[in-house]
Amino acid sequence: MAEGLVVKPIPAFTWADTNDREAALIQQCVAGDEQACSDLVASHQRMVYQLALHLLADHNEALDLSQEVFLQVFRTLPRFRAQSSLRTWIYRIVVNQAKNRQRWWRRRHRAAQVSLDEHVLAHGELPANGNGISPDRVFGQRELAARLKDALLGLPFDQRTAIVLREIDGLSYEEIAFSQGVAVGTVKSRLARAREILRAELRQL
Amino acid sequence: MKHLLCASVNRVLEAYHDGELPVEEQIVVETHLSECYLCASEAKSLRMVRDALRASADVPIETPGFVSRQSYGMTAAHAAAYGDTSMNGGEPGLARAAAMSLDAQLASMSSAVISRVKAERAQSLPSRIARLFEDLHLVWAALAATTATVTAAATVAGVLYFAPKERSDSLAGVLSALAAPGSDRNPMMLDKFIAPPRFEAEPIIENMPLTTEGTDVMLAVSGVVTQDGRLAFPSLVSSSPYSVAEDRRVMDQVSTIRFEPATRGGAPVAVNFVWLLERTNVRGKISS
Repeated sequence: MAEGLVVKPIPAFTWADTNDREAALIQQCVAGDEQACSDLVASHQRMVYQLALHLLADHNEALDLSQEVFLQVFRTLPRFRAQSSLRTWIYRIVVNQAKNRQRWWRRRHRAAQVSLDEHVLAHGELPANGNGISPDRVFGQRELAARLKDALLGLPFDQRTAIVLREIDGLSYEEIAFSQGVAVGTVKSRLARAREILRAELRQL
Repeated sequence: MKHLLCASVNRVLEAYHDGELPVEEQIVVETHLSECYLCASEAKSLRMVRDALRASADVPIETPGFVSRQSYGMTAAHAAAYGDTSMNGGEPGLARAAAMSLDAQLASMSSAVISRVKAERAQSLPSRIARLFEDLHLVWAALAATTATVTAAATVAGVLYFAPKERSDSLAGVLSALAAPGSDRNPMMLDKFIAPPRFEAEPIIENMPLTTEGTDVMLAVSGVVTQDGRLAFPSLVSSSPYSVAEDRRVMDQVSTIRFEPATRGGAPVAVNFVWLLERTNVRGKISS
């Protein structure tokens, strides 16, 4: 088997596992050290942006959400009690903010709008512009990824969040449960349902 | 080694795939998968979902400045994502430029966040209070004014509470008299709500002297009928036809007289009082 011996990894996350460096960084941020705040943003912004992008599927929305998330992080940092790692705590804020935004967005019928760029990226209907690359050659992989992305966006928000946190961000069940504010059992069932749909989508290809 | 049925493996296959099983179970499932084609293909489909998701995560979604849309067919980001560097030949450095652009956007987001947080902190209550104390001139003035007010209040309280109330001319005495109308120190004026002081029997002042002409005499004596019925502070209001010694004898007799005190609502009160004393000569008619 290609993946060989899969051994349960040592969880990167345990309750109250906030290492000294992180604790020091948090303290400096709370004390108002600008450089520490800047470091905190720099070390987490890509992760926040990526998750926001996967959950909202819009670059500008994701950037905007990232900004909101960090503002929320700094506002609530004095109340952070290290019951989780800082990373998981930030994930939780991203998930909550994205969920709120999703509701707001849905009320305004965002789901009915598809930009041309998205359509083109998803379906690849424009002809190649003569740069010598055969469209067939890349069609398979691109089509697979695009179909999966569409199927992912079609999932209910909670299931999509769970599967993105697990498969793309690599969070453990326990971390996902904390981020979503639910029990581990709920996470498992969300993952199972999401995978069922995505596997069905893959089988169609 | 323990062998598992496919059904049991299926139950834990996702946990196995997610690396959430204990090590020994992980190994048992691993062994089963190496022997069972069906379960292995299930596991493979889970991996395919993961791989496809990770690949799709690299497909940019409507990212202005992040991907060049004109270079369709295969974008630099795709090429980078799939590790096909040959496809990147047409647009050298495009992926790098795109990635830098995202970095720039994230950096500007970061600085926006920091400046916003700074502004929020500057407007927060603690820092506003801290700013209030930056100019201590105002604080000293406020402290001095507060001290003066407290001292004045303490002085007034001292005058009220420590001065003897027994002295009727002390501020505390005056205040306590004012606070108790109808007491001996603050007698009331007679009005329709007050039953006036009475006598059990009309007193007679003995040996009220005659005037030199032997005519009738009327004296007005003012004073206060106290709550226990004494006539306090008696003084003659009208001018007396008598000598000083005779006046004193009359007044001595007046001040020994006891009244039933005036009452207001059943309770005895002190009242201001004017008393008329009269001496009438009764003369027989001289018959001719």
